[in-house]
Amino acid sequence: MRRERRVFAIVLMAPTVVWTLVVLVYPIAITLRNSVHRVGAGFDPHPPFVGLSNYAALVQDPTFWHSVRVTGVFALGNLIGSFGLGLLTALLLQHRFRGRPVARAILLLPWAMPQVAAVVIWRWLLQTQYGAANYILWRLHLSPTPNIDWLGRPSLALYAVLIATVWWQYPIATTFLQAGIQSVPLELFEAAGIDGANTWQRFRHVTWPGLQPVRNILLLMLLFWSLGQVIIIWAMTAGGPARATQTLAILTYTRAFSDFQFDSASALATIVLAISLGIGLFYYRLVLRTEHLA
Amino acid sequence: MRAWRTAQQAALYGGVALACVVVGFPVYWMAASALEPGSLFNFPPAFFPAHPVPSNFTRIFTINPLAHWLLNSLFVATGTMLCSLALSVHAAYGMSRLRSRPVVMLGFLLLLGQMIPVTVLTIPFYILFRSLHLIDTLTGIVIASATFTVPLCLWMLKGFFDGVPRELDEAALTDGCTRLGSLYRVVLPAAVPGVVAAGTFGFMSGWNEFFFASTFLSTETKWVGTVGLVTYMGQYFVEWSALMATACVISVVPAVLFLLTQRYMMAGITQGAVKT
Repeated sequence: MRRERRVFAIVLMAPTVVWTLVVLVYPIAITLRNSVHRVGAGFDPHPPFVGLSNYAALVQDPTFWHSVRVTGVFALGNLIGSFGLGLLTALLLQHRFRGRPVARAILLLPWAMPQVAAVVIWRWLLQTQYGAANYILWRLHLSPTPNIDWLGRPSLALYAVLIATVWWQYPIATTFLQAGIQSVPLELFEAAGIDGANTWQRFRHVTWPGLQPVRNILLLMLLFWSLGQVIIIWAMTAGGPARATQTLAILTYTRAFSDFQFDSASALATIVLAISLGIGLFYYRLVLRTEHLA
Repeated sequence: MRAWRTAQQAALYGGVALACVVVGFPVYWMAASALEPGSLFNFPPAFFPAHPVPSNFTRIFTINPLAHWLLNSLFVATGTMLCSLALSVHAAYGMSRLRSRPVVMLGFLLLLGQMIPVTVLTIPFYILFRSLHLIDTLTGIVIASATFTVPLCLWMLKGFFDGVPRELDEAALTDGCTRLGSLYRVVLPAAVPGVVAAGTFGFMSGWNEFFFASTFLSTETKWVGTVGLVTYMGQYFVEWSALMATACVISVVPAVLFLLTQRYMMAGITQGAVKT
């Protein structure tokens, strides 16, 4: 009986395992192989082996290090923005008030839109001459001119992309943090109320510590999503202007499908993969610890 | 004390209203711009359209093969949903009932797969699809897009299956169900919220898929909505009002679906990532 149940469970999992081998393990194997060969646009079936020279070329390439920096700034910005906005909205939504379902729907809506729609909207809002965002900033005296060229200026483009990304991404943080707040025992809030704790003290000593497990996992997930974010960046700036928004993920794509340097792109992909894997192992340990606590 | 409570209430409503206005304005602005008949090049911008008309919404279907694109999106979304459900329902049930360390490890490997940046997989998929003659086909896009949905669907569903007591499947077995029958007739109905959450996630991901579609689909009538929208935006003369109307049409499907299944989705997403 027990044995039969095991066999049945394994049979159920088999198609997914095969699927994973084909669409995930095999592609990763191709990537690793291409990264140590010379592969051009022709996809030579027997490409010459070049050892680690593709990696060596990357390490000496200032474009690569520039992309590392851009990725870092982008990830940090997305982490701070999405987490901050997510926490703020989750704290608002934990209270009972009239119209809460409507407010929740509005606050979560951005994530339900396709990322490309978010890009179209923000390109229009940030348009240089007629953009509503420029007009509002100017009227609020936050900007000296109503004609900021957000996507054309290298110093601003990354922030423009970040604004659109955070707007689209933060609702997922809200969702996680709401679940986290709901998992804090109600008695703790009541006890704090009896002890005369004010709103800030309650947040500082009850909500924030109670959020710890969810918080860590959410921050890691946001880091993953920042590394993997390509749609918004690609559709908004395609990595430009002057590489100002060229993250590692975008550089990988450009190397492959604009420059047709599939070997260099594969080496880049391997590096990105290694970073993701490193974060993933960290995540694995973190979740195991959380499970242990539960 | 009373005054203090009123002040707190006022602050809460004020905060919620401010957040809703800031977050909701871009969506409002898309809709308002789409309803504007003439040129949108006004300064200051018209925050309330003076004479809103729906004409853009019919016009966009003649400017671009939008109906084609929407049908293709529907195909990719439905395909992704079915593909990821078919794989993940079974695997998640197996994982939920067979709790052992290698199985948990396998689940994590899958989840890691979901976290690989899309661009990393574009080259190997290009090579794979070339040999399978899947370049420029919608089936290829379904496969590529399901790669990223299966793992998360699996984790969502596993969480819900864990919540269905084992005694229930044992009871079904003693009542003469086959093992597969007890999954379909007893466990699955008890985990409907999970199936709804995973299915919606699969559908939305398929609908929103952009990267593989823009790389692998070259024939214009095979494009999906997201690719069409971005290409239209990239044209030299952008007609913003028509572009906004197109964005509205493409957004409305996933947005409505999300609003309808919001509660299940939220439970599913947090279940997949927070609990294991």
